[in-house]
Amino acid sequence: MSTTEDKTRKVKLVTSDNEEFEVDWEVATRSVLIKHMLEDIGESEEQAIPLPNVTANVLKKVLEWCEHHRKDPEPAPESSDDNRKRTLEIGDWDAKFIQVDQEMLFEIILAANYLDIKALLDVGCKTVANMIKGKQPEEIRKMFNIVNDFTPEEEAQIKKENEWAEDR
Amino acid sequence: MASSSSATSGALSLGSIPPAGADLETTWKFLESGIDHIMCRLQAGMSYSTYMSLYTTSYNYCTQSRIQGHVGLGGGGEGAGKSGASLMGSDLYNKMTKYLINHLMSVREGAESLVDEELLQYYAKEWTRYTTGANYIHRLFAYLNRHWVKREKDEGRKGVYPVYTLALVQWKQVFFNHIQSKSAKLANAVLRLIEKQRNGETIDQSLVKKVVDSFVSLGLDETDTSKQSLDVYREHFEDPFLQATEKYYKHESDAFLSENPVSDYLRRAEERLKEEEDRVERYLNSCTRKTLILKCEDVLIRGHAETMREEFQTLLDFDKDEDLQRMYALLARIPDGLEPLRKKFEEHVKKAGLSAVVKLVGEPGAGGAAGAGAETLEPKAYVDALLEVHRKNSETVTRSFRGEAGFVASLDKACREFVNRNSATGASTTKSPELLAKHADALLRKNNKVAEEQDLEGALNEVMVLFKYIDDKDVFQTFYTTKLSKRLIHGVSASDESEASMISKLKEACGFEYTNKLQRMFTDMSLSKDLTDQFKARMEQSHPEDSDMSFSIMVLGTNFWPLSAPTNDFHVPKDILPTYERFKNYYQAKHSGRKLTWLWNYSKNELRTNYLNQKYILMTSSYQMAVLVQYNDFDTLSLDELVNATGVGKEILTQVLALLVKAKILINEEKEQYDLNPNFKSKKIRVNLNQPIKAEVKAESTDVLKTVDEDRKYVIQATIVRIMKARKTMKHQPLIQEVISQISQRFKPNVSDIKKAIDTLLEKEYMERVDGTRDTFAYVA
Amino acid sequence: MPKSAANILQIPPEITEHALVLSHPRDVARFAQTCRLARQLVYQARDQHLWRRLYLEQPFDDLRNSLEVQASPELANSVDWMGELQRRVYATHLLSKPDIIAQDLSEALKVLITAIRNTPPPLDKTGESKDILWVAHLVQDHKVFGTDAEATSGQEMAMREALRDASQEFCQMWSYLGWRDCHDTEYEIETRNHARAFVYDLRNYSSGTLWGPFMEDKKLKYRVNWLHVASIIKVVHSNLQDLGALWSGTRPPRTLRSLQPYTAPNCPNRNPRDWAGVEGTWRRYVCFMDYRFFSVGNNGPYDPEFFEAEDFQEATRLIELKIHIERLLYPNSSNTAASSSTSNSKQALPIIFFKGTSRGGNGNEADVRGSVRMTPDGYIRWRFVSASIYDGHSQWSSEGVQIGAVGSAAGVVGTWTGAHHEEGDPAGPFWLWKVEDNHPSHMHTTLFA
Repeated sequence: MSTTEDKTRKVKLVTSDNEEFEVDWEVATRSVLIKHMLEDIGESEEQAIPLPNVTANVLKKVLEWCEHHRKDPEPAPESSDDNRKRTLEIGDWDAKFIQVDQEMLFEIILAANYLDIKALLDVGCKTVANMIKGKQPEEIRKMFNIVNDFTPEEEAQIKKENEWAEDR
Repeated sequence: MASSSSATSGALSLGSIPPAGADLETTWKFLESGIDHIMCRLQAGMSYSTYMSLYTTSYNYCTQSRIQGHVGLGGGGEGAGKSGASLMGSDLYNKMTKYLINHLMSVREGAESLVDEELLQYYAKEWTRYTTGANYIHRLFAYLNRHWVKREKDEGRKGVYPVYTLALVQWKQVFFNHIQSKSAKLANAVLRLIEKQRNGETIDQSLVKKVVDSFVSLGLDETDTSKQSLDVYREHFEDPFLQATEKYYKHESDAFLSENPVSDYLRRAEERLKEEEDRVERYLNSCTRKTLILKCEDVLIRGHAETMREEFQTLLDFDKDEDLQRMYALLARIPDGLEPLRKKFEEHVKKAGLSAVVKLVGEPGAGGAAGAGAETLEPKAYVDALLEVHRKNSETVTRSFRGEAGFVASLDKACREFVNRNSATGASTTKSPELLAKHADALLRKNNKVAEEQDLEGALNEVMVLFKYIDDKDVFQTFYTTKLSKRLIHGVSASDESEASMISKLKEACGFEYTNKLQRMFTDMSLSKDLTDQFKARMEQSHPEDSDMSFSIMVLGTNFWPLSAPTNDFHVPKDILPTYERFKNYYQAKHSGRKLTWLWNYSKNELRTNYLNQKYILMTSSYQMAVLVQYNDFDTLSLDELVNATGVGKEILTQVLALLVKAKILINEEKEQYDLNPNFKSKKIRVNLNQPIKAEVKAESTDVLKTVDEDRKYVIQATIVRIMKARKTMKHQPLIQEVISQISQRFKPNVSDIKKAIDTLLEKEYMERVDGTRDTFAYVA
Repeated sequence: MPKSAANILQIPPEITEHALVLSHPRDVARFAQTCRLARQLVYQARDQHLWRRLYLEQPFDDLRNSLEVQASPELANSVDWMGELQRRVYATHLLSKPDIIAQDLSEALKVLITAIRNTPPPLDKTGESKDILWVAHLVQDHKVFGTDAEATSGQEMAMREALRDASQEFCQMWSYLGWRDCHDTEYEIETRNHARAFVYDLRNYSSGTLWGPFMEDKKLKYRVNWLHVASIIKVVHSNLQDLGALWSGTRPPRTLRSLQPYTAPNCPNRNPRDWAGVEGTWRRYVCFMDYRFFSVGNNGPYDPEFFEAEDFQEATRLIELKIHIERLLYPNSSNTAASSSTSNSKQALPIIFFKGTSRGGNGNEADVRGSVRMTPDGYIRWRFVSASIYDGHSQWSSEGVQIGAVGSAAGVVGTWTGAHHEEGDPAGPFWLWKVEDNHPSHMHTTLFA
C-alpha cells in the first residue's frame, strides 16, 4: 500500500547508542519487524522506536539500503522461501553498497536479520558466498581468519568425505 | 476477565531488557509479563518500547545458538551432545505452550456454569480476545517461528506449530474439546438458536456466525498449517446441524401436509428452501451449501414427491398455473423428479386431444372405425379442435414448465399420437393429412373468411404446427398438390404471396425435394401467362380479323401436375378450330419436339348468346361449349347425334347435358332428345353453367390416394436401390430396417410393401440373391 | 565482535547456513575443509536442513514430489539429500571431462537415469521436470548425443560403438533423450541399418527374451534389454520420419515432459486402481518387413548393407486401440519367485489385465487382451495378444516396455511376433502411446468415411 500520505508519514528510530533517526514510513517499513509493529500498535507521532540491537553507524548503512529500495515490491511470503530462485548475482547498486570491510558486512547481516529485511540479508549472504566461491580451503581460511585445527587423521577423513566434489 | 497473572492493569512498563545471553528463567520472566499483558489487558495499550523490548528479548534468546563447541551461554543444555547447528527455541516454545494451557484453564472455568446463549456470548467474546492476543504474540516471536519452528517442521517433527497456530491448537485441546465433551454443549447451543430462528424468532445472527467461524479456524491441516481443514467444522457443527435439519423438516413437512392442501405445501417448501440458502449466506461456511440444500430437498421434496405427483392431474385439470410452476420447480431439483410428471402430462394431452375429436364426430365405432360424424366432418372444425388442444398445452409447457425439453417432448409425443389416430380417422392413416390439406386449401382460396393477410399467415402457421405431427407427410403432399393445381387452373388462389409463404414453410419443414413440384407449378403458371400474351400479340398481327375471339392457354409440365388427360376423342368444334390449329403451330415452332396434350376436361369457355332477346354470357366447360355450338346449326338433336358431334363419351355427356337441362338452356322432353330452349331467362347476365360433375368429385379422393400408393412404391424402390448401391451386399433384415429409418421422415412404410419392392427389384434385376444364401442380396450394377 | 575471531563462525549458525545454501555445492565442500566447526556444520549436522536447502537451490525437482514419497509421505524424512546431491555433482563433473572413459560414462549415466526414473509427475499441464531438463542439457552440452554435423559424426560413431558394446546405460539414455534429434547423415543411415539388423533378427526372439526387448538375468530372472529398446526406437522413429506428412497429426510425443509419470492423456483423472494409466484410447505404429526378406536374413545376422537393397521394403501401419481394465491380480495371491526377489515397494503393485479392441486405418478389427506389470528391475512391462475378429487365427503377441515413468505420455515401445511363436513367424517393432479419446486425426475419417 502506498498512498500520497505515506510520503509525509515519518517514523522515528533510536539506536542502542541513543542516536535518533527520522525516516519516511516507506523506508522504515522495509523492515518487516517495524512494519508489523506499526500495524499492531498503531502509529504515534511522539513515540520513537527503540532498536536496542543496532548501533548508529550500522543503522545508517541499513537505512541507506532501505532508502534505495523503498519502492521494491513486497517480499514473497515465508512459505515460498525454499523454492525461491536465487542467483549469486548481486545488483550493481547493491554490489557497490556492500563493498565494506568484513566487520561491517557481518554487522549489516546481523542487523538485517534482526530487523527482518530479507532482501538485505540475502545481499549480505550472497556476498559471503561470493567470497568463498572457487577458493581452496586454505584461501578461505585466510579470508575469514579461520585457524586449521584438524588432526592428521581428520585430514584423511576429510579428503575422503569431499571426493565427490573433486577429481578422484 | 480470566487471567493467570497478577500483573497490574494499565499500560505496561516492563523495565529494562534482560542482557544479551540471559538465561531461560530471566528471559521467560520478562517475556511472560508482556505476554500476559497482551492476552488480558491489551485494550490498555502498549508502547513501542515495550513491543521492541519483548521482540528483542525473544530474538536475543533465539540467536544464542552456536555451532557445537561454542554453545554454553545459558543454553540450558540445548544442543549438548549434538553436532552442527542446533537452534535455540524449544525451551521458549515449551514455556509458551505451558502459559497458554494455564491461561485456557481459567477461560474454561469461566464457561463451566454457562449454557445456551450465555455460553455462546462468553465463547465469542473470549475467542475474539484470545485470537487478537495470539496474533500479537505470534509476531513478537517471529524469529522463533522463522527459524526454530520452521526447521523442526522441515525435519518432519509433528506437533510443532508457529505460535498463532499453537495458540489455536491449545484452544481446541484445552477449552473447545472440553466444553464439547459435555454433550456438545457449544454446538447444541448454536443448533438451538438456529431452531429458534426456524420457528420464526429473531436471534443474534452475528453471534452464531462468530462461533461457527471459530469452528472453521480450529480446523488445522496437520501436514500443512498454511492450509485450512474443515474437519472440526464438519465434525462438531455440520454433521449435527444436518441431522437436526433433517429431523426438523421431516417433522414439519409431515405435520403441515396432514393439515394443509398440497398447493400450500408447495409454497411452504419453496420458502423453506430459500430460507436455508439464505442461512448459508448469512452465517455458515459456504461448503455446507451443497449438502444442506441436498438434505432439505431430500426431506422436503423427495420425501413427499408421490403426494405432489398425485396432485398433478388436478392442477392440470383446473389450470393452476402457479402451482404447476411451483411443483415443476421443486421436482426439477431432485434426481428423476420430473420423469413421472412428463409421463402424466403426455397422457393428459393425448386424452385431451382424443376427447376434443370425439366431441366433433362422436365415439369411434367398433373395430377402430371412425366415429359417426367423420364423413361429414368439416376440415376447419377438425383442425381448429386439434390446434386448440395443442395451443393450450403448449402454453402450459412454456408457462409452467419453463419450456423444459422433456415436457416439450411429451407434448410432441402426445400430439403426434392424437393428430394421426383419433375417432375421426378410425384406422385410416390418411384421413388426418387429407383433412389438413383440405383445410389449407380452404384457407388459400379466394373469398376465404380469414383472408385478412395477417390472419391468413397466422392460420397457415397453425397448419404447420399440425403438419409437424403428421406421420404420412406424403399423403398431405399429394392432396396439397392436387388442391393447389385446382386453385391455379381455376384462378381461385387468394394470393401468390400466401401461396409462396406456405410453400416456403413446407420447404423449411421437409426440404427442397418435398416442395419442388409445387414450385414448378408456379413457374408453369407464369410462363403460361407470358405465352398467352406473346401468342395474342402474334395473332393480332397475322389475323386481325379474329380479334373478337379471346384465347388464353396454360401449358403445364406433365410431371409436375396431378392432372390426367380425357380418355375420349374430343372433336374440336369448328368455331375454335382455327385458333386451336394456330396455337399448335405457334407452339411447335417455338418448342419443336414437345408434345402437347389438350386437357379439354379442365378448360373453360365463355359464350355470348345471339338467339335470345336478352344477351347472356354463358360460362361453360369445353364439353358444354361443344354441345352448345351444335345448336348454332340445329334446334334439336338426339343424344347419339351429340355424341357423334362432340366425341365425348355417352356416360360423361349425359351428365354434361343434365346440367344444361337443369339450367334450362336445353329442354329434354323426349327420351334422349335435347332441344334449345328459345325462352331461356336468367336474372344474371353472366350465367355460370360450369359445375363440377359428380363423378369427378368422388373420384378425387380415391385418385389422390392411388397416386400416393404409386409414389410410395416408387420411393421405397428408389430407397432400396440407393442403399444397395452404397452397401453392395446386405442381409434382408438390416435392409428393411435401413429402408424404414430412411423413409420415415416422409411416411411410415409397411414391411410388406418393402418386401414387395424387393421382389420387384429382384425381378427387374436391379439386385440379386447371393449364391447359397437365402437372405443376402447383392447390388447389380 | 573481536576483529581476530572468524566472523563467519561467530554469527548465528542459521545465518552461516544461509550463506552456504547460496553457494555452489563444491564451495560448500571446500568450506567444510577449513576447520572443525565448519566441518561440523556441513557434515555432522543433526538434521538434513543444510543439504536439503542446498539441493533445492539447484535446478532439480524436489525429491519429496516423487511418486514414491507421494504414495507414502513418511518417506519424505528419509530422503538422502546429501547423497543424491553429491552423486549428481560428481556425475556432472565426470561428463565435463573431454576424455571421459567408458566406465565413467556408464557411472555418470546411471546417476542421470536414476534422476529421470524418479522424476515427479508434472505440477501443471505444461510444466517440465527440472531434473529431465537438467539431464537433457547435460547430455547435449557434453555431446553425449551431439547434434551439430561436425560433432555428430563422432557421436554417431559413439552410438554405434555403444550398440556394438551393448552399453545398457548409453542405450537407455538414448531411448529417453537421444532419438529426438536424429538427422539424415551417413552415420545416421548406418545406425538405422544396425538397428534394423537387430530388431528384425529372429534370433533375438525366444523364450529367453520373453519374445520381446528383454534379457535373462541370473538374479532378477529377466530385465529390460535397452539395446533392443533403443534399436526399436531407432527403427520406428526413422520410419515415422519417412512418412513425412502422412498421419502427421498423430505421432508419439517428443516433449521432455512426456517421460514424466502420468503425463499421458486422461492419466491425472484415472481410476485409482488403474496405476499404469491403461484405460483409454491408444495409437500404435507397427512396422514390418516384407516376408521375403525374413527368409533371406533368417539364417544368420543381417548384414546392415542388406537394407540398402533396392527392392527392400519396410512398411508402417497405424492402429487404434481402445482398452479397459478387466481385473487386477495382486502378487501375493500368486507368489512367484520374481516378486520376492526385491523389496521395492513398487513390486506390490498388482498386475493389470486389460481387454479391448484394435482397428487399423483400413478398418480391420481385432480383439485385444493383455497385461501390465512391473519388471523385476522396476520398469513397466506391457504384453498383449490381438486376434482378428474376422478370422480368429491371425494372432499376434506383443511385448513392450514403457519409456519413462509410469503413465508416461511417451508410451510403450516393443516388438510383435506370432502369438504361437512358430517357426518362421515374422517379428517387428511397434510404438504404442496414449491419445485423447477424441484425438483429432485421420483415423476417424478413414475409419468412418
